[in-house]
Amino acid sequence: MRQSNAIIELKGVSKTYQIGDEGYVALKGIDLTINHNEFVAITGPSGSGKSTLMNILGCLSTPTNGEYQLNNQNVANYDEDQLAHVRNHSIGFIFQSFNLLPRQSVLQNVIHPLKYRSMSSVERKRRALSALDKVGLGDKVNSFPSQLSGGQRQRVAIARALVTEPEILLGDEPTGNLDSKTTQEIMALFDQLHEQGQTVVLVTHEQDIADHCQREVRLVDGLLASDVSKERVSWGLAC
Amino acid sequence: MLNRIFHSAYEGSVAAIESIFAHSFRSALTTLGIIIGVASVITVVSIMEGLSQGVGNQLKDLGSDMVTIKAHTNTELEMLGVTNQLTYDDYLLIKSKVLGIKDIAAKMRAFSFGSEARFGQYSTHTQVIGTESDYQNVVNIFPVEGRFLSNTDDAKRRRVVFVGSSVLKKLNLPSHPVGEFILLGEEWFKVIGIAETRGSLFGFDQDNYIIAPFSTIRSLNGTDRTNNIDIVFRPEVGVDLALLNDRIRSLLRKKYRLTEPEQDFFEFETAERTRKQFSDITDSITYVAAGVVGISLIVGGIGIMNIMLVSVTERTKEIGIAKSLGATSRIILTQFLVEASVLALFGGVVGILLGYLLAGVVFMFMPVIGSLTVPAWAIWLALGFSGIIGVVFGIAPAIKASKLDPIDALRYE
Repeated sequence: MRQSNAIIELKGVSKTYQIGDEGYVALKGIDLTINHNEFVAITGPSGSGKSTLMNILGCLSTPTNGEYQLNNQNVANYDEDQLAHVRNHSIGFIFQSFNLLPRQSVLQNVIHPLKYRSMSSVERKRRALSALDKVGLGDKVNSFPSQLSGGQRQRVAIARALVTEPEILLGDEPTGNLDSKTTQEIMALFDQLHEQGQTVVLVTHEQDIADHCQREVRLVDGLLASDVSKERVSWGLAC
Repeated sequence: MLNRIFHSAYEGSVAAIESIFAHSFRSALTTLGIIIGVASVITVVSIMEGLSQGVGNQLKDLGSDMVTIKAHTNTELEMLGVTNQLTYDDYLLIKSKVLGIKDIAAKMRAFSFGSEARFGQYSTHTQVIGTESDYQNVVNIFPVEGRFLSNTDDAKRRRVVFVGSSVLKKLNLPSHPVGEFILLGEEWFKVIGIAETRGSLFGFDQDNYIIAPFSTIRSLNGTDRTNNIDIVFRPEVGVDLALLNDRIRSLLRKKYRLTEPEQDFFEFETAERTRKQFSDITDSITYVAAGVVGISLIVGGIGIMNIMLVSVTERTKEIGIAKSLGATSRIILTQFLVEASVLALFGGVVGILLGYLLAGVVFMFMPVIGSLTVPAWAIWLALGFSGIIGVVFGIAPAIKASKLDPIDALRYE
């Protein structure tokens, strides 16, 4: 049962970077399974390898060794085009610095990932508007990122991640640039998406964010140090 | 597969055009090299085209069916000191034996008395030729006043002249000069007629000549130096000119018993040939100009490459975002390639318009006959070439962009 429910399955994943003549081992054999509709935080101090893990999970890079089953496909050996396809179809990225295109409107930003699919522009727009509605920005479609607050920008980024209906939402310090009130709002939005069945994986070094998640996977020095599932701490108590 | 390629081409193009308009000022500056290059091609080509068109029209006025037979000496013989000649006997032979000639005249340059003509205190240099009355029918010159040479003038070796309108002006002859005497060398000639003005051709004055009877000039020239003449004729309507020329050629060759390896000592000059010679000149000017312009297009291409490389660096983050959202390398490659090509093509289009404008200005200030035409091939060539420049110089930046690692690109600030 648990097996079939797994969205992400890492087996012995390691990653070595070549820096000059020396190899730097960022991940030293990670086994990790994330199931459908889990809300997972990946934590760890700087240099623990959590960014590397995040890049592998997001198919931005491939492991040096090991197996990565994403939705029952072994993507560890995929070539660049296949990875691009997986990123477009299965992964919704949310970045700390939002990474919106400044010259494009909110709507165009949200449509962006759909441009890499064959789809009519009407359908693209329909999906983008529905994603923007989900994050509560239905009234800002024609604004530009510079006209929005940090929280609103991150909502646009989440809408952009959701518009492709990905299997997992992958947040890299999604609240790192936000104040505590906005952080609260964004986390509430993640909660809401999680309740609607979305699998959410957040990489963070903030303990209160990690505490908010169902499960905390902690990395230290490229190894899995702990993997704790717990009752979720309600955000209100954490404040 | 084809669908995917088409899709990435489409998405790449849309992104490219968006990006060009986002940096419209920079795009305009970038493409300036191409604009200047293409504008110069179009200007040069249209001027050359207009010029040869104008010349073509003028040659048509001259009578495109007039033929001149001239003595011709090849360089080899010339170095041996031999000069071939056409003689009056040759002329008589052709006149009597060849059918299909409407009008024919012998023509001889006067050289016994320099080229100076005098009237009172005025003098000018001009071309003095001796010819027969039929000459006016061959060349189509007609008097505006007085008359042309007659057969009697020739038979009696009269010292009379028919004068081109430029000579009239330069010698400051009275407004009705018929009956006045002018001095050629040391000989007095009576003016019997004034020719219609023909204007200038290739910048040469077509009215600076004096015509005297053939026999007069021949006797003044004497026989000690040369008997060489030119023969001008006009074929009858409907006669195949090439065939006629062949007939004349074999007649002359037979007369002098020329056998096969020996070359003709004469040549035929037709208006068609003159036009071809002229178009050879304009063509070679066009080619030289095209070469120069080609260099400027390449410089323009390097400008585009430079800006595209800057643009790739500048948009590294954007490329990273696009890749993280699922853009394949091919889409990124297409985007930058299309961007470079569209820039170059845009330059091409603006260049064509600018070139057209420049040519128009030149045509306004240059008294060339002929209308402003930009041939279609020049437009297609300019567009094609700028498109190719865009692709050739866009490929390096595009590859650079497409090869960016998404993680590094996302981290780029």
